Amino acid sequence: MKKILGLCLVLIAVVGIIGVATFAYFIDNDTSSGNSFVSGTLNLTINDTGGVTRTLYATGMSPGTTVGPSTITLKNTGTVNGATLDIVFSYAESDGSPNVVNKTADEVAAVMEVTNLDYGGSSLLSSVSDHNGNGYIDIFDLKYASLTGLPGLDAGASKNFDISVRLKSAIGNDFQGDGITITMTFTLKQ
Amino acid sequence: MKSKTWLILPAIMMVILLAYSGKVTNSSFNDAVTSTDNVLQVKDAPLFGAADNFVVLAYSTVTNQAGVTTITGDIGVSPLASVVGFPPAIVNGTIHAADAAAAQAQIDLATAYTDAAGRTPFTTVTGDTLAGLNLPPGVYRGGALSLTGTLTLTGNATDVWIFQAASTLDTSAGSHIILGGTAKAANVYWVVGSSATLGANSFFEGNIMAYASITLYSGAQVEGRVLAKTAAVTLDTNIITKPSP
Repeated sequence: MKKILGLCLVLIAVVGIIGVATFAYFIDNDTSSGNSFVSGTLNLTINDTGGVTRTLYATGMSPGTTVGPSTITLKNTGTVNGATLDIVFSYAESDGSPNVVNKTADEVAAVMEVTNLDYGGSSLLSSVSDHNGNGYIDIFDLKYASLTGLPGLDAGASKNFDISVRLKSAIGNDFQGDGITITMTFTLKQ
Repeated sequence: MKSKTWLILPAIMMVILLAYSGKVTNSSFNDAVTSTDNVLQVKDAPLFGAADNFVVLAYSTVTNQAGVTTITGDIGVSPLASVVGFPPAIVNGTIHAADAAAAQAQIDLATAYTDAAGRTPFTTVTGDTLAGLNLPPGVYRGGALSLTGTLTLTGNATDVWIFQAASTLDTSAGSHIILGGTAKAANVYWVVGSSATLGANSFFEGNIMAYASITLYSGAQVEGRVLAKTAAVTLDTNIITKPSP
């Protein structure tokens, strides 16, 4: 009986170790490529790289200026189908030569209207709520958007993500020289 | 019986192991990529705020003296309300006569005016004449600025020119401003200490912010704005178009 009990404890320990090892091995959440698994790979790329910079870029914007549509091509270069995709937006203050008022990043994001937000040919704008209640969807609203569970990418498949942003036309002198840097993270899940 | 126990226990453990392992695998297969350094910056130049949509703005009166003047954009008067000669003048926009929009536009014009008038460092315009010059972006200051012939402003789409006239701005008949490179009229500012006058059949680029009146003679064309803080705007068979941002 003692032998059986001992053997059970050993088995439980082995199961635990293997479980933890499996858990540690099967999580990958960074921007590098080639996340390989014994059973296949799930590898998301942007424009055929592990990341991309300056998709959306404009300095010296006049009120009323539209930037975009800027396109990011998302591709699953792995061998496992990705069932869903999540998109997360964040931003930080990135000023040129602001005047004495120096608006915050949130205030600048709120005058950057998102006029186009497409993924795979479908608009995502209706999935974003007007978080700051200013009557239109802007970069500030994107920060709080829950763009999760979007259609994923089968192995080898690609889809385009498009975004256009317009600086509101009626902004006052207090905004001159102010800016933001935007980061967009795409996560493909099995 | 003993041998059966030895077989059943490992089997149960294997089933648990496989189920646990499979669940972890299915829920944790993911990969993320990031698009970084996406920068959006507002230009470092006077911004008109509520006056942005106005191409003609006056304190007292907007008068179209004669002919068919065509305006693309809004016109406004505040705090007074006189708009004369519309029609025959055509406005592809809205006329705001002493309403809240025009009042706010005047407030924001005052802010932009003060900003533009105070910009430094500046280059002094020799002899107050702009004729024949080809100027890079910058701030240029004079007393009573005048233009005969052609003035060229060469730069890119985000470059800014600010002209500060302590008193008047006068352009002669047939004078022209040419934008070289990818320069934009939206980024050219004329801040005038008293009144501005554009000659007949002249072609003007940029946003005039005059402390007093603005007068356009017959046939004068403007890609930009004519905004008067404390007096009237007078037109005569002109074409005034809001500049593209």
